Amino acid sequence: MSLPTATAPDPAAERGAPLAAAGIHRDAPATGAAPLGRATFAQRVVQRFSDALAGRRSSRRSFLTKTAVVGSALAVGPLDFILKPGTAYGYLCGTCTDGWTAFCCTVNNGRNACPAGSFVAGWWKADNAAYCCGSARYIIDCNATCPTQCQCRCGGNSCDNRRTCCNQFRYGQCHTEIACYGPVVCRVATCVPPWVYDKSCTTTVRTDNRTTDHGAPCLTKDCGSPIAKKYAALGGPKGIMGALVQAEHAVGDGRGRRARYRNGNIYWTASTGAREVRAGRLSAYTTGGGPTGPLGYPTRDTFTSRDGAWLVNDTQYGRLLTHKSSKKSYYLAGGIFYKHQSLGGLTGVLGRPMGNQRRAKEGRSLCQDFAKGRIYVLDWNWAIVAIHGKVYDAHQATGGVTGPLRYPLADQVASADGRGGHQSFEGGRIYHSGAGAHALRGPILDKYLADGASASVLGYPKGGHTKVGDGAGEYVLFENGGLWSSPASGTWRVHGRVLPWYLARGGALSDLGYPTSDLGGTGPQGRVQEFQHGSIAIAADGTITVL
Amino acid sequence: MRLDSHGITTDLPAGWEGRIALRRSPDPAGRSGFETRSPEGVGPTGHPAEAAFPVAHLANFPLPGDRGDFGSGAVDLMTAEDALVVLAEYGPECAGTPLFSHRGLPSALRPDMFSGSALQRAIPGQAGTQIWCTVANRAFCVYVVLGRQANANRLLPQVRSTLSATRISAR
Repeated sequence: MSLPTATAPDPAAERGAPLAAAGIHRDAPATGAAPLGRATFAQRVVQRFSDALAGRRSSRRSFLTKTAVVGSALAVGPLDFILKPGTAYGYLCGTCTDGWTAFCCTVNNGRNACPAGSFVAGWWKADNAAYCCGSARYIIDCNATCPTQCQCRCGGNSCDNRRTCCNQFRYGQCHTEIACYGPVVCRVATCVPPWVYDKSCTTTVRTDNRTTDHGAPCLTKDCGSPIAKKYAALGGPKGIMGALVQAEHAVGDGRGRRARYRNGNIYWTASTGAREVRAGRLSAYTTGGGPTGPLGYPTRDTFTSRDGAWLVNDTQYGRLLTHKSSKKSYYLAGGIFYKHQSLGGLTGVLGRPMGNQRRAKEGRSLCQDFAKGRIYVLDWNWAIVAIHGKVYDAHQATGGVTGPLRYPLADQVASADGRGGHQSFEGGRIYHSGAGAHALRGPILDKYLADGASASVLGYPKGGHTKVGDGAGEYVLFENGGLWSSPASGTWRVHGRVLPWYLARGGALSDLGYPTSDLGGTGPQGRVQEFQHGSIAIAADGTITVL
Repeated sequence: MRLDSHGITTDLPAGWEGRIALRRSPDPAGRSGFETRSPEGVGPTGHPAEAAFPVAHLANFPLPGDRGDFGSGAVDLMTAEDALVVLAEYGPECAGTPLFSHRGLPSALRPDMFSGSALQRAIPGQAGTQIWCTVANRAFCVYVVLGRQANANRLLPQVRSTLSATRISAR
């Protein structure tokens, strides 16, 4: 490129152009504005053909199947190309009559640079350009040096048949030491800031987003991005991802990028790399908030679970699952995911997910259902608690979180005896053992705990709270006894040989009524226990006497 | 109607409207943290080093909301009786350079200053001109588009009136 020096005489001034004195520095005389009139026969044929297409308003979709510009169009602006109204040809290629100037690679032997006889005269920016992999794109005008040596004409290519040497317009941020300028010979498209591309350019920005997707066959850019490479590795348009739907772009969180394809998305961050998420798992991912939600970015491409039943994507803070036979997809995120994993995952005590995270109906927690239980994230303390197995069934039987037990306070605790365990709730406890899982609450639970719970003489409960027929109290039966409770009598234990004797007599409905003490220590009459309406004594030989 | 913003003041003739806007610059890297950048440091909406300067659009027709800095989007709507004036400021390093050597805003626009080829994008019938100048030590490009070149004699008095009522104050 041959540039006048800063000290060179201004050609326009040399020719005494009065316009220059008024601050108008375009070279005179103006070149013609009817380039078709000077086009070659071949150029005119191409132009007529494209005009005819434009005249018929052929749709982009129909044009897609008819022309070789499709590949370039899809590479430059696929979604717009398919969806925007208008003619397909004009979208990407432009025509000699669309008023824009051709790209330099079209008229400069494939070189995306200013040709001889032109200079970098200014630039503008177009945002979110697919050509620059989602970043802003810069278009640099190459204006003819004065005196203008070129003539207004069509670019002459079957695609990018835009004008060259026609528009005497200047953006003006570059080479401001050169006042005189001829028409724009061509445009350089670049993803590099113009002031880096050419040191003469200033950083004063001008924006025109209408040129974001202007393209030409010679303007193919291999983004070389991890997403592009991943897409290629997965087979490109004919692979598992299918055709590009939305070009790579920033997710918007300052970390990641994303490209959308017919069958899924590819996400990238510096820490997770490029990972695909497809089909139902993408739907679940979207439902779960996508990369900016609690799942974070995918960290592993699709794989099959060990049991072969699931297709899985791991994410930074969760997992996406598709059940292969039912085709249902779910996500597990954050604390719920980690809790599920800690309890054995898909083959653990909770089993497979039966839905996604949801707000509990009574609104105090986030929860997720599994085949054999449920995980709650409690609003008030962010505790993550699982209920599963027999305890879950028992909890549900009492009304779940809307029943008297309300929310779990902690996970299940195994007893030291190895025969069972319990789980604490806001309104009581559920004990489980070979005798089943049963809820205890109120004074009976208090008494049970005071006596030593499952380690006491009573053992584990084998039934739930049972109302006494008189409506005055209730009782719970355990492996080795029972607890009777009423406001009038208090809560007391009946166990050992006394229990079957008491039950056979009618329990609290018998003539003795409710117990008013535990079985006492050994005295002269044996071991004595008080009831509302009498006392009994059990002798050393097991004989029970009403006193 | 008076517009006064970014040191540009103008009293628009009856039937004219205008906007004086300063595009938002991309956040400097690391400040917002909400843009992914290319290896060259370019984000979806540009490079943090880009310097935005005010651009005024003055017209005797309704301006659309979405306009390029040199009036794209607006010029497509112009009729034969319409005129558009763009005042685009450049960085202070441009002031007084040969391209911007003319002092003061243009005051005597003539039909012969306009050309159908002096447009950002050629539109049949339209004509334009760019006047490069330095005013109050600020560099400007004044870009004027006429909806129909043949109507220059009728449109230019309005344009001249608009420009003569425009004042640039020093920064």
